[in-house]
Amino acid sequence: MILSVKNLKKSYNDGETKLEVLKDISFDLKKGSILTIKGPSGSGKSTLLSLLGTLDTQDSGDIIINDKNLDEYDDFSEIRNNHIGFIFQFHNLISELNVTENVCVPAFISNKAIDHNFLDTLFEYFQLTNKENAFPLDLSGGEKQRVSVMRAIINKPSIIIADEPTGNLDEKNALKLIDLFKKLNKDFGLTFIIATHDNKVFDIGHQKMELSDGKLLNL
Amino acid sequence: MNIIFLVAKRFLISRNLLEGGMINIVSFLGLFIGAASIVLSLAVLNGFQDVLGNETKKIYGDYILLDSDEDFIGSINNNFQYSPFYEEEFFILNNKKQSLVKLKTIFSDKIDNFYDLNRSNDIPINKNDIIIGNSLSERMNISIGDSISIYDTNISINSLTVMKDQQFFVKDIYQNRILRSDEFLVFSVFDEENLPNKLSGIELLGNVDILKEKYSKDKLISWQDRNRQLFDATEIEKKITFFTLFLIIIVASFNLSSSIVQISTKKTREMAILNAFGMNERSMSMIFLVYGYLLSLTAIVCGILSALLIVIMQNQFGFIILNPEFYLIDKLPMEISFKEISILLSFSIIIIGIFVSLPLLLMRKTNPIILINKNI
Ligand SMILES: Nc1ncnc2c1ncn2[C@@H]1O[C@H](COP(=O)(O)OP(=O)(O)OP(=O)(O)O)[C@@H](O)[C@H]1O
Ligand SMILES: [Mg+2]
Repeated sequence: MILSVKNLKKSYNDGETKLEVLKDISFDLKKGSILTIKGPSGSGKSTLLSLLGTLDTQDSGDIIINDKNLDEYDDFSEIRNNHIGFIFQFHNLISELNVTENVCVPAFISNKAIDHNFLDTLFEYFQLTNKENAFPLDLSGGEKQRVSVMRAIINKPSIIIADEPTGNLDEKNALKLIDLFKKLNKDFGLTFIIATHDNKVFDIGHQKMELSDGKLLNL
Repeated sequence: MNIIFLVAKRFLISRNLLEGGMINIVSFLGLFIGAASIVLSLAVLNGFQDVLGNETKKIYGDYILLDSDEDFIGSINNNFQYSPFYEEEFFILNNKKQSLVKLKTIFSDKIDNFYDLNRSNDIPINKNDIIIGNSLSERMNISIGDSISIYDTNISINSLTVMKDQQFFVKDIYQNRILRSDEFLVFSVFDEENLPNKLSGIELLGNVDILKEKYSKDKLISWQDRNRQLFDATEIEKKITFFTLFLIIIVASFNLSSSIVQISTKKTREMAILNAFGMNERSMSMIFLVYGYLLSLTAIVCGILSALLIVIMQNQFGFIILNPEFYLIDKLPMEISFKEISILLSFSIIIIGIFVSLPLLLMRKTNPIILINKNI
């Protein structure tokens, strides 16, 4: 298992009232599979993904990535750098950096030497050749989102976490991105966890789940 | 490519240069002006110190050796010149005006070989001839060709004793206003047949290392030590100038703190992204530290370089002129001291370090999740 989640609980203190967002979430994920999660707005999808991505911490329960419990780490930055790739609803590129630099941010952070062959392949694969030195402001929405996918996979992470990746794209670009996810999964064996409202995205999951009332149901 | 440096650099020099805002420009200008004015002021002070030194050496030599054996000095085969002298105070009287002078008697061949008196005419000086300073000649109304009497200071003017006087013939006038010497220092030459049995000392020019082994510091005295007060004063003046102008840098550094606060609040989203992709807290702080150093060191280095350029241009073309009557020289003297520039740089690095780190210590950590999830 690349990921095991056990009895995960998370609540927010909203003034006096305590909002229980995640109540006892457990599931396992196999390497090389795609997990899609849907659920009404406010059901806690983003909350769950940020816990899995170590951007936030749970109240109780365990997250085990590559057989190692996250409890064992003091500093999550290294896990995020090496094991997790993020794709957000908004591309969240750094506008001061050009496309190549944005893509390489995780590699720069880990001080890894850039594999230029891999990089060239990626640019071709993502149909972004000739855009290497462009700045995010000069790209279309779909292009920006593809750049952010490249950034998510550059360090060859164990899990790619995508929160409504198509939420900000038009139909055409959304379809293109869905194909890309399928292809990346097939060609590189990448593992995805995707939260989405979009049924077309939801359908690519090998494992499909719905988050409702703080519980995760297999569909 | 180091990501910290890359990001800091891009934050500083973004595609829209003005995006950095007024605060950056003000920080830059403050540090620039501070550094440039320190380098320029010190260059001028150094320049004048140099002039002072050169002028002093013209009449006093590099070193003075007290109570020494002239034959011994003469016997050393060496790379310095020497001039034995005898010095005594006298009164001179002319047209009812009276003045106390120091009569320095030297060997006639040394007048032009050893000393550099900037004389009005270069005629030879014989015994009973005297060279007086320009200021003295003006004040006492004495000109070349006049005959003057000098009186021993040991005898009171009021006493009934007949005053011992000596007649001198004013042969020439010299110019050297350093330490007001041309008001009181007058030169004459030894009567070779009738040398005094005791010398006041031997003045030396050149490399006297060989003598340093033999004579202690209170026997072999450098021109700086001989005029300690004056040179201490110029050194103190330099220090005061340095610290006063360094205040500009300190004040500009306050502004640098604002720059850091401004950039760090403006770039929270970017920092959240970097954090999400695994950048740790330390590196995130480093980005702002590097940002601050890039901004300020660029400003200081540009300030120093501009000042150096002005110094070089001044030394080359002398576009800032001075009244030589007043300042001894006709153009503003400037001299670069790399020692002082390195002191300036190290002090600046420390001050900048403090003012850049301060806002980072006080800054509140923002959780990336909040920023990214809320899609700020
Ligand atoms: N930092 C927070 N503090 C307090 N409440 C929060 C916080 N973050 C999220 N919540 C609340 O937790 C609940 C779940 O939010 P979350 O963003 O996970 O929902 P979501 O399923 O991603 O919704 P959407 O589909 O609209 O993105 C919401 O009611 C939200 O208001
Ligand atoms: Mg959400």
